Amino acid sequence: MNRVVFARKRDYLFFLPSLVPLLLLFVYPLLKGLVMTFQETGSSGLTLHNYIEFFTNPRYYDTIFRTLYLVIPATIIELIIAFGITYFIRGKMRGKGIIAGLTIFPLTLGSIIIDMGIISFFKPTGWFNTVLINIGLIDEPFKLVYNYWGTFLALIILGVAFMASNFVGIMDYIDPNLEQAARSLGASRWITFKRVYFPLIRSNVLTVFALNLIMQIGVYSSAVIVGNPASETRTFVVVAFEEAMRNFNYNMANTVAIVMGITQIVILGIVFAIRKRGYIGSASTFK
Amino acid sequence: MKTKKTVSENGNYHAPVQGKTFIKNSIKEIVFYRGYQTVSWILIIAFLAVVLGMTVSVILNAFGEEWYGTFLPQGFTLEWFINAWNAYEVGEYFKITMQIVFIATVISLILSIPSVYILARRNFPFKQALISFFQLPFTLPDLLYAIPVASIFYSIGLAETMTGLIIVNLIVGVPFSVFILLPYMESIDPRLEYAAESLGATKFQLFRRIIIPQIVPGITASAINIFIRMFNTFTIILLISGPKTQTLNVMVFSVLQGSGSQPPAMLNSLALTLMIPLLFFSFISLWVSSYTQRRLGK
Repeated sequence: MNRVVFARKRDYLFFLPSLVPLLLLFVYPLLKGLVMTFQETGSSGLTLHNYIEFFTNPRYYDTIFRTLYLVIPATIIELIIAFGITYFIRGKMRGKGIIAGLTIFPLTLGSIIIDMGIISFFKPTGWFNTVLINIGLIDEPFKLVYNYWGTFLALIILGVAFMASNFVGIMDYIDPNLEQAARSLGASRWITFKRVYFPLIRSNVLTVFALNLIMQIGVYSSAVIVGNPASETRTFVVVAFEEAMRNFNYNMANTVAIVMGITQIVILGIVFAIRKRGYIGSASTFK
Repeated sequence: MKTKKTVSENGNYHAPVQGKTFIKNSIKEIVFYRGYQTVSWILIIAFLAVVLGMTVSVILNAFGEEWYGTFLPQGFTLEWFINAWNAYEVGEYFKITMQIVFIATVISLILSIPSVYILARRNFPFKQALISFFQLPFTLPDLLYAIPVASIFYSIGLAETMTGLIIVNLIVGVPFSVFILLPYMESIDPRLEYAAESLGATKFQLFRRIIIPQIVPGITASAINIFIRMFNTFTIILLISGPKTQTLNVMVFSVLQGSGSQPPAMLNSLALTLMIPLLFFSFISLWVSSYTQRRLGK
């Protein structure tokens, strides 16, 4: 029995302790930040100067392409790896817990430690290159750190961990009977995947993909520590921090942040438009 | 923690598929399936090898003596770790971080429990919208509010102070603790409260004697999760921290950022000082969640 009680006026007071900090620290700065982008440092008149500067100066607008060039290939590869691993270990399988746990493990370490790990593992004298040279596959070590590839690898490790952590939960909710029914009616494994499993899981996978994509557009510490923040990995956040902490130009910094936010929303819109076209309903209805 | 459910009563769907009973596998399909299995195993082993290799090589780098081109370092020493600990005053920053994170965790929990109670027990218009609003701060990119917060904090003098760092952590803590506590609060049986009320308990007694004891597992889980999250909070702390009031990971990041001349062993030791507490907290978090699940399962 769950008698639902309608709230009385007095009950709304209980929201004050949590809503006040949220309004002061989140909503107000968000709005103020939006206004700030239309102002110049030191004056209070409204102007479009910051946005004009952003879209005419290649120092700024280049960051859009640099970020997307880094993040979009990375997330697609992450999707393939994370889906491959979690799809293979779905259901009951020996070692599932260990494989899933180790795949998700990088999430607990966080970005900075992963960056140091990338440096130690992929540097010219690190294990990766040492092993490849000793096997005889390559003569010269790959240059994989302090450039595009360093950040790329860091993104992949963290992205796979994030996506896999979500996929494991999603795949557990799909009724295995559906697959079994398709198989017993004579469908091959591939047809079962294509016609039964994939349509059920598609929309959730795309949601996770979109979340991961917008998360990775905000890449910062990997771009600075293992990347080359002066040119190849000059992402949105690198520029925003440069403006805020070196030039103390919060208005421009926030303009960069807002453009980043808009880019994220556009990408989210695209992914969700794709998602909507093939939506066939929830995957766990039969349970 | 993600919800991990068992695979349901029919988890054994591999057995009839691979067996001899009612499905005939064509030769082509068997070959295809073997290929798929091989590729999957290669993928899993390669990814896990990179993850483990990275972790182990950071540890070996931090504790190794000389390491050039060989498979393992020449010898092991604690010297770098101790050097890094002393040179960067890791102990001091660790203390500051723990203070900030601990105080902010306690405040976040106190601020969010009343709201969680109302969200779980009462019904009102736009309730779902309010719950989504509580989730906004950790779904939106933090840079969007971090920069204005930094400029506000600098103009009112809260930046680079302990108070400022604690306050700023609330934006991480409050929404997240609402998010984690809500399912726990919803699972508490309201009949116990009616019973207490009918026996003459006041509102305060009800809260202290009935609700708080029942929600202890939820509070523990959410405290640990907020704690880890705050320990990892980066963007906003980096923007408002001063040279002496930094959290550990911001300090480590600043060192790594301008680290051209430092020996790599020193930097790896520094990264390790960050890794050890994180592993420790995650271990506790896993232990607590499995413990509460066992308790709730009974």
